[in-house]
Amino acid sequence: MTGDDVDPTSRRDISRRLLAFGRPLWWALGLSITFRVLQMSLGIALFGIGAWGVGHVVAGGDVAVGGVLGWMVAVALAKALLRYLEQFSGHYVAFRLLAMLRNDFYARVEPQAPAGLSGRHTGDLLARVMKDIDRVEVFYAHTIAPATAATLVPLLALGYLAVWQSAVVAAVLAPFLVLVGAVVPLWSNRAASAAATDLRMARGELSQHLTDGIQGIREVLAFGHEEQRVAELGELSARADRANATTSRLMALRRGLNELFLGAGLVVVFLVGAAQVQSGGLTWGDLTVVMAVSLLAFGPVLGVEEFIADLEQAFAGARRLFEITDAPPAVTDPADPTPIDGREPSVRFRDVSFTYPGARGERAGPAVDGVDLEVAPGQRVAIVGHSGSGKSTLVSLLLRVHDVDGGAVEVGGLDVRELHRCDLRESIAVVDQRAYLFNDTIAANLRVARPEATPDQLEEAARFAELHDTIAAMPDGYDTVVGEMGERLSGGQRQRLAIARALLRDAPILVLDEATSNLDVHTEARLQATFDRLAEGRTTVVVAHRLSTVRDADLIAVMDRGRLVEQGTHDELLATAGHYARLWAAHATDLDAALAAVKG
Amino acid sequence: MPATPAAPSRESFLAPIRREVASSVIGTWLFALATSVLLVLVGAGMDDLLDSGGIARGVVIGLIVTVVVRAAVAGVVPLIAFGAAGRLEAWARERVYRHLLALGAPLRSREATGRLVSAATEAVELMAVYQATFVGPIIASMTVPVLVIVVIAVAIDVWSALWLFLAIPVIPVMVRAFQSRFQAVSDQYRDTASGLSARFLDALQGLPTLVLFNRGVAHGEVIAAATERLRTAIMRLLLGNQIVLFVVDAMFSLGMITAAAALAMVRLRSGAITPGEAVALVLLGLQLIEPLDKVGQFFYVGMSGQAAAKEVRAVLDEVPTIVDPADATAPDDAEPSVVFRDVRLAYGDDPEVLRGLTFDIPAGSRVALIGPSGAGKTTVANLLQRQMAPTAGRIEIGGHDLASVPAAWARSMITVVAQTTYLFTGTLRANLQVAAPDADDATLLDALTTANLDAFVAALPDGLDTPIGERGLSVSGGEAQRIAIARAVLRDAPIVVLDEPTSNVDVESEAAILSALDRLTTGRTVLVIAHRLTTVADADQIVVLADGVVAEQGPPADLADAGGLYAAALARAAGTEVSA
Repeated sequence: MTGDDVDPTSRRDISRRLLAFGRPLWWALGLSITFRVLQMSLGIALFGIGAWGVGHVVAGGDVAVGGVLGWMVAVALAKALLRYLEQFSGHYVAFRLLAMLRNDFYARVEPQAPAGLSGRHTGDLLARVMKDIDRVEVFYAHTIAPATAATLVPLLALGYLAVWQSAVVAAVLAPFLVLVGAVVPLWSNRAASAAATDLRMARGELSQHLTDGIQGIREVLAFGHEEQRVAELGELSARADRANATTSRLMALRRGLNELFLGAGLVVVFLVGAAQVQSGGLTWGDLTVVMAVSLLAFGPVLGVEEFIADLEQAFAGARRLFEITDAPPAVTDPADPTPIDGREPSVRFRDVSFTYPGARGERAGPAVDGVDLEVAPGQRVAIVGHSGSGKSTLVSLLLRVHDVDGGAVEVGGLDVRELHRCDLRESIAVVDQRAYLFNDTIAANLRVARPEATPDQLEEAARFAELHDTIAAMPDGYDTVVGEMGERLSGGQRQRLAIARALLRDAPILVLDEATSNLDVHTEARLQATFDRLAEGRTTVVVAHRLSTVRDADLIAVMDRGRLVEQGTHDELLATAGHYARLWAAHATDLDAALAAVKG
Repeated sequence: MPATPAAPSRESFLAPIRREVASSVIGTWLFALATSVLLVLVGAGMDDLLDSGGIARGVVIGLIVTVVVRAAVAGVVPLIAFGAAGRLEAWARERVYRHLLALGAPLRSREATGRLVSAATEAVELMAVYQATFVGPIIASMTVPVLVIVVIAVAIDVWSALWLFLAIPVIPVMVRAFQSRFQAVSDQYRDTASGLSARFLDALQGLPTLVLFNRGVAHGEVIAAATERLRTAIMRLLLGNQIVLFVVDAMFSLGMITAAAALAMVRLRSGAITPGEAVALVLLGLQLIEPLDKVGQFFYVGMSGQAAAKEVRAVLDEVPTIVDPADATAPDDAEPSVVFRDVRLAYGDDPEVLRGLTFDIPAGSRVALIGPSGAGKTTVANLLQRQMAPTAGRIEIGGHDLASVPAAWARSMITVVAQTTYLFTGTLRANLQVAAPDADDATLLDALTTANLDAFVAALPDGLDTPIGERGLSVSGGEAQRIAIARAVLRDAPIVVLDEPTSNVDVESEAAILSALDRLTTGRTVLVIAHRLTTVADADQIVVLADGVVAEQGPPADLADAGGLYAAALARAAGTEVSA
């Protein structure tokens, strides 16, 4: 196979890997193939019997037409039954495999979260788990079975002709079957691969151009750039159309050649068979059966070209799946984790440096560079800075979403890399920008934090978060389904639910990662008291964009372009008139917030 | 550009390729006819063999000619059909894109972008292949048995043909039976798939949360259990439903193949047909069952093609909010002034966002629009650019009501530097030429200098030819904003709208952007949508927007003393500073 991304070994590897994965279903696949081969063979036999009947009428005239028809009815019913069984077992394989592939996908993606997922759009992942898995399924249910049948059924037909009719006829027919079933499809597939690559590339560019044109539609309209974009689209379309014309011509040639070989095979078999009749090797009646069997034997092999195309799709789908499932997790648990029990809840960043994997070698540089910060047990430390200054990166390093490149992050005096991730996560409760709500009941969403929580405990947590009354007013109370993406809850209610989760979690360390930055000033102010109560008695790390929420912190750490540039209390930092003071000044001139505040 | 009227979207997607579809139908029939002739000739040869011990030269020549013609027809049909598919695809894609442009920019969410791109790419491809290669040939092959029966009547035996004709009603019955069963299964499958899809989406989006709470693995088991329930449900449905396969397969085997064989034997025995004709009749049974082979495709392929066509149609059926009046002509010249008169706006049945907004921007003046976030400031900018139309009231540029002039004219009067800037895939030059297609390098470099980007472009590896945007160099937010300013300079429109252009950049970039903006706005009419006290001080007028109306308005100095919202906000900001 030639082509840009086509590597024969990888193709073989993919097949081997997919076959191994499907091993638990080989028995069902085997059954489906058996039913298919039998069903198709009976289809040929049906015509053979009819032809045989005609031959016997001509030869003797005393054959019972009723008897022949009786056989045909029996074969017809058996064939129909086998077809039903073939389809059912095929579907069984297909649906079982879909479930297996999807569960496997989830199981392999789960350890990569959250680091492995942050760079990818969920839409892309979803497309892979749904569409690409659908395509991969085709490999099992719609290529292995037809391919095996396309090989076995003609072989059975040839075997019958060779043994019961004439070896010469079988020998003459065989090459034509090979031409139609193997030579033409493989040749045309190879010939089409360059054009197929062109077409794929042209379509990729079309898609990119359209995405650009739609995402940038504001600019396109504002600058009156419409006709220009349409013209560019037209050019790209024309390129795709040229590639398409090439594949169409090849497809036309393939169909034409297939039918030519089929027709030629039939005529040659007929002429050779006729010579055999003349020489006495075959009877006239035999030749009728030979013609019927030969004609029908082409049926299964004509389908080969279709599943070769499907197979290409399946390989492409498999490659896209493996791309995700084979990615190594960003972090792994140590072989011999140190237990965290009994350690005091302190947090320490020790000369920490980190560059995001995707940004290595880019001009952006490290996200965090030589940060040294200590949070004593029970202390409340705020990390502030512009967006992109590295605040949230510090949080992900604390949660071990990524591992540091240099230095160490410690919890309770232990390097987080020595801990089991489950233990680490048990010790830290996080409230981030926008709590994720599953499309499930309120109770289930709360129990994410603590699966064994009793209804009383849920209510207690909700009351603490001042969410109980809201929930009680809902149609089904705690059993109310929140709807896709939690649409039924307002931003403030959503964050209250996150507070309730954090309380249920009851971890000694609390991380508030921009927990109120999506809320308006009023809601933020109302939530602040609840956050304060939640933080009582806990070691708390607050990452904040708006400074009004952090001025009472025990310590404020100021980040700028990955470096910790200042630390101290609000008053101390203002007095130094440095970064923090500038941030505070900008905060003070924020008109939106001031207007919202004075409007009341 | 002319807006696509809504009506033509109703026209059939087949219209542009009607001739090709008709040709492919005829081609399919010709192919079937050639096959029939081939089999009838085999019968004739069999007769020769029986009568004279050899096959007549004429029959052999006939066979060879038929084989060649048949192969040629087989090749021509896909050539026509797939060629037509390519043309239809390009035609439909342009149509969809033009329609999207007419629909405008009611600010697309990421999900919506994905859906629209998919409609213009995948759906258009599937739809085109379906219309061009499926509708004609597949439907034609459903009618092949009728053609074959005619051949039998003409070439073999009228009575056999009549008897076989009795089996023809099996075809529509089969199609109906298949349709109802298939519908049930495919509905359930679709529900299953979309349910599963939603579940996976939920799980993938929530995975970071699940993992933080150590619930990732447990949730995998929940999903697996749900998947398994759906699987068993669909298998149970198939168990009963697929019996239709058994029935249909048996009906064809009995009604067509067995019937043809029976007629061949009976009519042969009674001497009505020759032995060769009997052989041909048996073999022609193969063509009588052609619909059986195609009915599966008819539904499986047909279903996805129809779904794709529906998806494309859905986009084309969306009615644009802004349609130029038929007689709209661009005014020759207009002074760069803006008037909002009692402008109201509501989205659907939601409460009004703007509730009678009135203010003026005299030509050459600088007006700052301020208000709490969510007050509708950006909406004002969108209305002015004619991205949307007010529900009531009027907006004028240079005294011309925007409702009566082409939207493109209004847009040509204004240039906007917004909160974020979209960079197209392509070079820096192409991204600048969006604003001025014919600008030469000197002009482009001048604009970059005005936008404080001269050092930036000098440092680029390939200067203006450096690729930026999604596949190119990553550009910081501040640089992107200055590219937007360069575009605005090139556009050279008399009215400039600044929609919080520095809200997403850091302090250092802000200074560079602000000085570039100063150069851009000199000598133009300016509307500043502002959220910083520092950016409103030099405005001629401040308009304070609150609760959908103008709460107060006046020169900054006057408003500061007026005791209103602006004064209170000033006092509060000062208080924050003092409290430090």
